[in-house]
Amino acid sequence: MAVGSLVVFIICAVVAVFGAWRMITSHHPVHSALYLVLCFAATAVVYLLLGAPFVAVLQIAVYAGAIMVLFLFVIMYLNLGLARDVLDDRRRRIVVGVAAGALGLLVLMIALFGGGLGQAVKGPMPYRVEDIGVALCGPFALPFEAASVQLLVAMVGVMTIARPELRREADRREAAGR
Amino acid sequence: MTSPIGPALALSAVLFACGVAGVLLRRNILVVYMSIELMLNAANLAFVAFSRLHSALDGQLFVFFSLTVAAAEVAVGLGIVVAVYRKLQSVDVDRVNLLRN
Repeated sequence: MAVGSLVVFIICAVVAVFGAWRMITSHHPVHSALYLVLCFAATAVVYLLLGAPFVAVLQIAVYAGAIMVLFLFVIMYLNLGLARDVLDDRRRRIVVGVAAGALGLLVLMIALFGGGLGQAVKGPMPYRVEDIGVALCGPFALPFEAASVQLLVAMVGVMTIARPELRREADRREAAGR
Repeated sequence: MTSPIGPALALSAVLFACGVAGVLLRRNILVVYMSIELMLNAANLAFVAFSRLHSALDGQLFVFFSLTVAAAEVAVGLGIVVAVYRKLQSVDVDRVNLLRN
């Protein structure tokens, strides 16, 4: 593996794990959200190293941009104060720490030593971004359309859940029209 | 250009473990959602790493669909959070124990 890409990867990996860890342990939800943005940005650089520029841009635009802004909006909309829930139960902390650590170690060992995945793949990725668009319009056209329907359903569902008065008004209108 | 496959999978595993720990440790429902996002992100990283390993595009396309599912899930989840907060004045998952009313 080239030394340069390895150094960049190690820096990004450390930043990503640091962001994830601080996201869990921060007392304030806004801090958690911002550390998660840091983690996502570092992961986007790893996507670039893995020859996936389209996914890297999606990561920044959709995850760090849209989803985390939505999180911050809801946190500030609800005006949540400090969360005094984390790290206050010592036994639970130890059990969860050991369980999550064992899970991570297990998958890490499989990733590093199982099936000879430890080697690096040489040469450029033989696809470009436009090939993704071609695939989305060709063999993946049906899932692509299904994804759009899913987003529409999610939007309608959120409006129904978050504003029950809309639903009640619709029921009343339907009853009056009958 | 060389790509680190094994280390990327290891990073994916560590991020996933962090997400699991967050879901199990935190009681703030928003932080729980963020941990779920972190786990989805770790799965995406594994998808991209295997896509690179096999020099195939399918993994990146799966990431695209996983991303749309994540976006829809966050929208619905945060809608539920807002509804629950209006009802209970709290975002503690331990207090959300009613199916209706």
